[in-house]
Parts: sequence; structure tokens; C-alpha cells
Amino acid sequence: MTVVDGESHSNWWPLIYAGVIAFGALVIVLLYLFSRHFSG
Amino acid sequence: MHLLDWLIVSVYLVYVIWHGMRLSRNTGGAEGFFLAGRRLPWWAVGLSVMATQMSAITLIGTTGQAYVDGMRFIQFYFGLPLAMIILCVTAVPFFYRARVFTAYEYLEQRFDARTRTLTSFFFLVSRGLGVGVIIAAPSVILSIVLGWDQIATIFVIGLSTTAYTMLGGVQAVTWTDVKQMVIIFAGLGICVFVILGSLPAGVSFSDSLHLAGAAGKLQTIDFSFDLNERYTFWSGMIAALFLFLSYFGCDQSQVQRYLSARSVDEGRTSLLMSAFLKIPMQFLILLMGVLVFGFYQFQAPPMIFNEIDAARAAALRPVEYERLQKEFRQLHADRRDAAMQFVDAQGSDDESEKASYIASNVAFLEKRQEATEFVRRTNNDRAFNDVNYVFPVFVIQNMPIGVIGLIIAAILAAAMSSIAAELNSLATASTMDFFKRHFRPAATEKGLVAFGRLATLVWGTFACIVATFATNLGSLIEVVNTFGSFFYGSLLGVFVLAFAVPGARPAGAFYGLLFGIVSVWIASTFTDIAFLWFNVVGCLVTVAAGYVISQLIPERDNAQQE
Repeated sequence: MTVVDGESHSNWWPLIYAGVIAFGALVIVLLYLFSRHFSG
Repeated sequence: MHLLDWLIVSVYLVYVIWHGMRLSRNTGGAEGFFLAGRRLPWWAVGLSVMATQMSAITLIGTTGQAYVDGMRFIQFYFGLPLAMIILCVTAVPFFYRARVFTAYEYLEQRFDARTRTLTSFFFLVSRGLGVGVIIAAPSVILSIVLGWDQIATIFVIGLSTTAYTMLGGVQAVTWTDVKQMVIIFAGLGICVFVILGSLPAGVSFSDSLHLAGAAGKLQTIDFSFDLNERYTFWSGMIAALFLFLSYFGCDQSQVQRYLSARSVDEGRTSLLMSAFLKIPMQFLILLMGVLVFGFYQFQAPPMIFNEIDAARAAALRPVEYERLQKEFRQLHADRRDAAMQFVDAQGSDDESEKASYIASNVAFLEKRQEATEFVRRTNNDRAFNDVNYVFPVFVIQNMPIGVIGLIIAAILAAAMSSIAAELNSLATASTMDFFKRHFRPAATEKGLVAFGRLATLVWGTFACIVATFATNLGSLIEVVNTFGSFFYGSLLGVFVLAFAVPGARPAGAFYGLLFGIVSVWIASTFTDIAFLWFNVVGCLVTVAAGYVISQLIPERDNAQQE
């Protein structure tokens, strides 16, 4: 934890953001595979 | 509707209003009424963010769109996770640490009072009209599908929401949003199960998806780069990214949600909740439209889902309508047989059954298109479109007693959650950016809350009046949407100048905003680019013009600031 303006903050945010991007990319890949499987 | 359905809808309405009003006891001063004392937990704020974004027309229109156009609309949300991350890094800490009530108040701290007033004024005009449309759209559909009185529906939805928003402030809005999201999820979940249970014997969920896939309804990703095409991978990743940045980062109806969180970190977490859940949730809503498509392979759908317009056209030209109806029924029977043969042939390498199904589906869709054109021509209504009627008509005609009431309650919940958040934000901007800033700087906490309640009532009544006109004037809805798109990208540009351009000056922000709005007007008048790209144009022009103007007249600005 770090403290900015008297407020504590998690140091994990960069990792969390990377997780969100990875999750978003995974969802898009899954959607693509879903589309291909049923439309192909 | 059956008595049980009426009972469910009535219980929902009474409970929501009672629950919202009950929270009026804990509002406290201005910070309590407008920001819940900045002590709401992230998960409640996160659900409120999602509930605010999902209006009734999102719920009804998206399922209808999936039925007609397939799932490609999902691409619209591809930029949302990235937008949320950018806002977590920029807007959330900037707004939260500035201890502001409105996003526009921050612009005064960074630039000057006129930029704050202009942006807040644009927000009030576009949102004030927008709430009218949000009330009108489900009211028109529910009144046509259920036979309810249109004006009564508008005032029941609008004034009941106004009542609890006015008394309970942001606390009532957020906590009722949480309950409303539960009702929406429950309604959708039960609906999916009922549809799956309604498929004929021998047709599975997977078969239904294969049929939808063969009909092109499951095309989720289109990598072509075409500025005139509304939904592609690139319009979702780039143009919609700008729209989401503007909506979640600069629109008071969303900014106020995360300003009420306990801390910067909880505000961030509430936004990331949408980043994780929005695409899967939207996928499920679209999937429901696809399942409705699967259902109507085996049950005959109405030729035109808007019964009132269909009856009007049938009355004007009965012989032609009857002929179309007969041909439509025959083509549906042909498609049903082809669908059954396609399902039976699943697992084999024979592609002929699939080709036969695709051909019969094309013939069926062409007949529906011909019928739609017939209604347009006969009723002299070029804008006629029955996409938004698909889901409500399907529910009323095919869902069991009790489930109908629950889904109508879910549609009302989706409408009311958006209306409440928007009325609440309109009241906050009116109170803080105008009443306190320009007329009563020394107003007491009690005076601000009283004015906030009055403003909620005035905006709620105004929205209901706009809604009554919006039901008759199709073009008004278009005007409201166009006005919003003119403004959104340019507003984002002003905040980009505030957050990311240290050299930006007040005059640059103010005139940059005006340049941005004019550029969007030019783009919309002289080009055919899809409306999502207006956000990119408005933002980039505002930032560029704002930066150049700031460089040209910095000294004068500095003198003015001092």
C-alpha cells in the first residue's frame, strides 16, 4: 500500500488493469471462436 | 395481462417507491443528498453504474436487434474495458481529490467559470431532453403491446421515479438501482430458461444456435475498416472508446455514481466491475434475441410486430395485406420444415440441408422486408421500424403467467434506474453549477438540499412533458440523439485538455469546445460517416483547437485568471 493525500492505495492497480485487458481480449477471442463454431 | 402479472408489476412499483422514500431519512446535508456522504461501497456503485447505462430501450431494443440483425452489435462494447482503465487512471482520482460535486465544477478549478457553465448547460439541455426520450420509448412500446394508456404510462414511470429520487437523493437512486439490477437479471434468466423449454422435441440449445449461425445471426466480429459501417471491430475499439470515455468520464449521470464511492480505489473498482461484466452481460441479452429467433423457427411469428401500425395498414389496403400475410405464413412453414431437416442432418457432412435452410430463410426475410415496406408506404411512415416490438410481443404472446409480470417489471426497472440517475444528476448540476455558483453562493446545506429536491421535481415533470411530445414526434428523438452526439466528443476534448495538456488555458478550452461542436456539425452534414465517429472528430478537433488557441493567447488568459 502507498499513501497519497492521506489516502491509502493498493499497489496492485497496474496488475489489475493488465488483468482487465487480458480478460477483455479473452472475451473477444471466445466470441470469435463462438461465432466461427456455429456459423462455420 | 393476467391478474398475477398485474400483481407482480404493482408490487414492484410499490416496493421500489417505498424503498426509495425510506432512504430519505438518512440524506443529511448537501454531500449526503447529492453524494451519499461519499460512503457507498464499490459493488453498489458498480451496479448503479451498470443500471444507469442500461435503459429499457437497451434491454428491449438490443434483443430486437439481435433477432433482426444478429449479434454484431456486441462489437460496440469492445472499447469499454479500455475506456474504464483510462478513466480509473485519470478521471476518478482527479474528480475525487478535487472534492467536486459535478464534473463541470472541476473545469472551473482547472479553467474558468464560463467553461464550467457552458459544459454544464449543454449537459442540462441534452440530458433533460434525453430523459424525456428514455421515458417515452418504453412507454410507447408498453402501451401498444399491452394496451395501456400512453400518457398514463409516461406519468406513472416518470413521476414515481421522480418521487423517490426527489426525497432520497443519490442514496435512494443507488440502492434502488441495486434492487432493480437483481430484478432485471432474474427476469432475463427466467426468460432464457422458458425459451429453452419452449423449443420443440428433438431441437436442442445447440441446434438452435446452429440455425442462428446458418442464418448469419452469430457473426460477432467484423474486422473490415469502414467509417460508414456502424458496428465493426474498429468502430467498437476506437470510436466507441471515445464515446465511453465521454459518457463515463464527463457525463454527470455517471460521474456522480463513482463520486459517491468511499474512496478513489472503490470508485475505480466500481468502474472495473462494468469492464468485466458489460460485454458478457450484453452477450446474454443479445443471445436472448437469438434464442427468440430460434423459437420463431418453429412457431409462426407475427409478420409485423407493431400490431397498431399493422392493423392500420391492413385496414387501408386489406386485399394486399391479406396476400402478404398468406405468403408470409407459407414461407414460414417452408422455413420450419427446412430448419427441422437441417437439425436432423446435424453431425453429417451433407451441406445441402444447410443450403436449403439458408435459401428458405432468405425468402422468408425478403417477405418480411416486403411487408415492412408495405406498412411504411401504406401508412406514409418512412421511419417505421418494428425492431423494438419484437421482444415485448414475444413475451406477451409466449411467456407463462407470472413470468410476463416479472419481465414487464424488469423493463420498468431498467427504465426507472436510468431515469432516476439522470434526474439526480440534472438536479445536482442545476444546484451546484447554477443555483449555488451564480445565484446563492452562501446557500445553507438545508437550502441546497431543498433546491436539489425542487430541481428533481422540475426536471422530472419537464421530462414527462417532453416524453408526451416525443411519442408523437419521431424526429424529436432523432434531434435529441443528434444533439447528444454533437456534444459528447467535444466535451471529452475539454476534459482531455484539462487532464493531459498542462499548457491548456481557459480560452483554449472554451473556444476549443465550440470548435469541436461545429466540426461535428460539419461532419454530420457533409459526410456519411457513422455517428460513433463523431465522438472521435469532436474530441480531436477540440483538443487541437484548444491547444492552438491556448498557445496563441496565453498571456491574456493568465491576466484574466489573476
